[in-house]
Amino acid sequence: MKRWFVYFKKEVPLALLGTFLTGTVVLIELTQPRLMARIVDVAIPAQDLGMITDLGVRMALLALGGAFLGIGGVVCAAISASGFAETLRHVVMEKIQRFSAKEMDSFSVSSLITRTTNDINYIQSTMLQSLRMLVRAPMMLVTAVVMAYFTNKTLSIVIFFAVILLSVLLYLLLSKGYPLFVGMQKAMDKMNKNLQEGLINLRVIKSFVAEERENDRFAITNESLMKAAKKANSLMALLNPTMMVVLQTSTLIVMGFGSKLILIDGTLKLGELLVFINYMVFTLNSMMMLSMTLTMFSRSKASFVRIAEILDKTPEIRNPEVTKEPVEIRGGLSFRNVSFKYQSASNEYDLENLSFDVLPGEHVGIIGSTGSGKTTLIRCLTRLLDIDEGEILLDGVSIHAFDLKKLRSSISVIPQKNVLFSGTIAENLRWGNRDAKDEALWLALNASGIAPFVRNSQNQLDTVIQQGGANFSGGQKQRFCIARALVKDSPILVFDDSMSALDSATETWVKSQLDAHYSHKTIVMIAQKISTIKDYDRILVMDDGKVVGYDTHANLLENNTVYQEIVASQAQKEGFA
Amino acid sequence: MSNVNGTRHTGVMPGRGVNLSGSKPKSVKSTLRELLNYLGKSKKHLLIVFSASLIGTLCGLASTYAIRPLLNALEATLNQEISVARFFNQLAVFLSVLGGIYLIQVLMSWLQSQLMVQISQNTVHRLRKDLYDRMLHMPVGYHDKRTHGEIMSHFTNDIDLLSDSITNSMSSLVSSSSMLAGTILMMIYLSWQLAIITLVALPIFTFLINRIVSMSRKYFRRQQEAISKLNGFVEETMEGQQVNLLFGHENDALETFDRLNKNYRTHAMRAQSWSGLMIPFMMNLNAVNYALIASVGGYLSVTAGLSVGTLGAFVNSTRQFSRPLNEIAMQYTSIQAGLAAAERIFGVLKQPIETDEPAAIELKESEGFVRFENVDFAYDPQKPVLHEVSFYAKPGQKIAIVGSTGAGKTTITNLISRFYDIPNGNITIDNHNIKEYTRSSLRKQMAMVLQDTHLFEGTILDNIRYGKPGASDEACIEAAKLAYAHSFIHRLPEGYQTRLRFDGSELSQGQRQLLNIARAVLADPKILILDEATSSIDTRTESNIEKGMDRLMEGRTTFVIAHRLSTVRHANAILVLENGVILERGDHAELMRQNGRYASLVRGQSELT
Repeated sequence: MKRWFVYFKKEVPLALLGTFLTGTVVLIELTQPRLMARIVDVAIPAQDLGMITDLGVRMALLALGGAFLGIGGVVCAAISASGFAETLRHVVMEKIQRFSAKEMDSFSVSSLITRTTNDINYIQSTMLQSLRMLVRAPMMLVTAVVMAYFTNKTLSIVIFFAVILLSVLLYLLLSKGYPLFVGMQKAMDKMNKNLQEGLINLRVIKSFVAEERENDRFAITNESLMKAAKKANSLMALLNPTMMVVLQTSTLIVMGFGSKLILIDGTLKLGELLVFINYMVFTLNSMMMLSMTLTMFSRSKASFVRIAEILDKTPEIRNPEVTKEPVEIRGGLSFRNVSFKYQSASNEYDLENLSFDVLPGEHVGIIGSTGSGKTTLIRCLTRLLDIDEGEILLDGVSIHAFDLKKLRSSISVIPQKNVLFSGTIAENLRWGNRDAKDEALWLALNASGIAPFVRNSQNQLDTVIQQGGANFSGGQKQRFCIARALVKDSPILVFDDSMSALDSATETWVKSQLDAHYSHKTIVMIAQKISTIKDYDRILVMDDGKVVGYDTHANLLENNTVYQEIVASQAQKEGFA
Repeated sequence: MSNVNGTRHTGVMPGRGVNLSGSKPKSVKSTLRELLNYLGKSKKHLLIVFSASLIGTLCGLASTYAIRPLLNALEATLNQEISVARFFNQLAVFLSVLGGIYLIQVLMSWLQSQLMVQISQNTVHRLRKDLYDRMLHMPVGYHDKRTHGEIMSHFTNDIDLLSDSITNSMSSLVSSSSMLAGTILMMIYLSWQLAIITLVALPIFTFLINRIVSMSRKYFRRQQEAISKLNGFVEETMEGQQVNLLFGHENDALETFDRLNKNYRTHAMRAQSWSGLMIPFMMNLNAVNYALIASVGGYLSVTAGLSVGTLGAFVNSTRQFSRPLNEIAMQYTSIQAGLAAAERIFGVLKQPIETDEPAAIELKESEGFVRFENVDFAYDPQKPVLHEVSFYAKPGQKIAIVGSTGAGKTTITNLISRFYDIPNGNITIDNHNIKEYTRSSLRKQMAMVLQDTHLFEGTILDNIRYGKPGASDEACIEAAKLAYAHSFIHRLPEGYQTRLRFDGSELSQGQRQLLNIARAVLADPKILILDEATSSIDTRTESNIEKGMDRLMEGRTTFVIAHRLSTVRHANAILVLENGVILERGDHAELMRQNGRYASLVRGQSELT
């Protein structure tokens, strides 16, 4: 509870005001029956028209006031609930922004999206509900009971027992209901999964003529969802009748008992009996309200827990407290006995004891099977992951001594996955270099071989890129990603298998452009095809997380088995020799 | 919100806002008719529910009214018009009558709510079943035009909205309107003078409710727009989180996020305020009405001899007056949203499914002779994909199709398997047009290994057996061996019994591909389609799978669709497809000799995109 208060602090004044307003409205609502009783018990027997008018006007004024206060309460609740959610969304987003690749994977992107959207929205509506109800219901309950007590002490015993009875019944119902709803949610998830599987595999299902088999499979999950839903909902459908039974029984008792009090004991007035029944309805209604709100609140617990998981995570990648950087970054890299594993409990390293140097301005290729650790290596270099053992040096200084921003601004990466953002081409190109001039953009577009395409587009640099770059082909997206990295203009350029979607002609063009304009930079090129990197200064051969060779193409061809295998697998097919 | 909430209570939760996020149905009448049809068997139950709701409401009204004789008798006894003993006799009768009414009311409420759960869950169950069945049998074209999310939302959002509106709104609408009508009638009966006050208030109430509803609808729409913008941005930022870090773009992203976040908050606040103010507003307006009744009633009772019992009963009715009005206003929008959802669901259920020609015959044992004759095809009439494509594959031949993305390669597989039908031209298998066969028998003759390897939740064995249900374990293992999948399966902790999670995500791409191949081996088809089957595997891993692939292709008519040229070299014929036309055809040697497009591709002089 306390931890969430920090995010709610800003909203406290308005929330309190709202609470106060809502409370006042409750008081007003509960005063109305008393005024009514005065009309019946005092004014009518006394035939006092003036008093009737007076009481009537008072009731009307109170009601009007109540309307405005009530609206004020609602608005305050809406403002503070939405403000709380806004703050929560901000801190969650801020935190996620600092997650390492490992942390992103451990949550999974889709789950992080759900948490930031659905979960917080659910919290927001729970907050809203609670701000309105958690004040109103208890307040109403207490006030109604107190007022009933002062109306008639003897009769209030009935309310007392009714409250206890209803509490027990509600408790039983809700505590039995909660696991049923959890079960229903599980059945729902299963059904959704089943459904998703059917959608993804539609072509497979059709080609194996398995539609009926799939129908049978779905029938099982569908059936169990129906059963679970019936169970949970039938139980909850008992709430209303239960409430009615308690209320009606108490009403009957109050009427019988009340008549005795009026006629025999003379301790109760006729109007008061009416008022008393009114208070009883208020009391029991507010109990229902309270229990509903509490259930909703308890259901939001799951969302709170999921958000807390994010907030509790201390990002493993941290900026050093004291930074140390070379005056000028020339782009020399040294890996010294670098080891890394994704799962700390695992025995197997994903990168094992890597040691190699890249000289400033050197052009190095990296090759190896899928899963050999090439991308992991780049993630470690840019500190999207932190290595477990060893040291990585940039121009002789450990990258862990660099300011994070400084480090990442020195290395320009074209990632394997071509991620673009919605906006214009120019905005995307300036992603890492806000102030780049248009000429710089055109230069990069030209080098990545897509300048003619952009020039022929109607809006040129202002051409809109849709979400996920959906309006461009894979090859086009890759070229934009290359251009974006070139605009960033760092001393080190890293291509993480970033020529895969390019045809050989474009690839040749990009390589010639790199030679012509960017050859002074350190270039690290991860590639699938030998042809992409065979003319590089040195080639690093990776296999299963280890470096198995680091030499020129000619030398590797002569004495490196893995390299020879890769070459052979490509030569035979592509006619490459 | 879904029906996870269980029941919603009439008047018990005055705090809940009006949910106006739903849309309006286009045609209320026909959707309602369809829905009633659909309820079919439950219709009788529904009738019971409505009657129960009506009876319950009448009991509620009767119990309010029943207070009058009691109060009058009490007053008479106090004025010593009747004796105390007689009063208590009357009281006993009165309490038993009232108790009887209450009992009926509770029973009706119980009956109604329990039945409603059954009706709505049964209906929703049937809808899901029919929707799923329809989805499976609809042509692939329907799915290709929509995202999975879009289709899933029929099963989740739309069904929820519908069941919500069936469970809560329908019966509540019945009880609320009868309650409203009954209350007004009773008021008139009790005291027409006082009733006038209420009848004057009624249109004012309705007008105000309408105003509030339409205002909140407007703000909910804006809130919806704001949230979809925010969600879109969240999605994008999460997907691109690493890129943002690499390009030092975190702060800029956070700035944009904050702006969208604030914008959403503003709209959410307005929408929530508008929908939330309905209740305090109405409650207190009603209280003004109440005050008026009380004072005018008091006045009448002094001057015109209105009995205290009548006044008490009338005042109680007034208390109840605004509740059904609120209820109707809320249910009205919920029903609208429910009907709009029903309309969308029925829209899907009305989509045409794949059917066979009336005289279609079974394709028993195909020879595997496939021929395309002047085939034209377009997904979108504006953009032709295939134009006058002709070729044939003799039984057992391997035909490779090479070309850029979008050149129409995959379309050819879509057509052989009749995922799509062609407008012009002929596709024949064993010299018969494929439309003359039943779809199921046609598809049983072929197997596909696709680029995206998807598996089902279940054991490895189940997944292999998918190709041929009822195959023995030995046959499945044999198939796995043929596909060179045995060795990796063997190394898994539980071998063939290893359970795969959703989509087999614990296996590598290559391993999943091998399982797909094993599945195809087991299916033992005459015609095999390999659509980019190895394109996402690196060359070294590919050479390991190759033997499995070769074994698979033996003795079958095979279509190999490839982006990478390595896989097609040994084909009997290679078709180079560009912009929907066959540019070149021949085997590798011939095409190299022709020195055309294929040769330049092989030499890396031009590109495939």
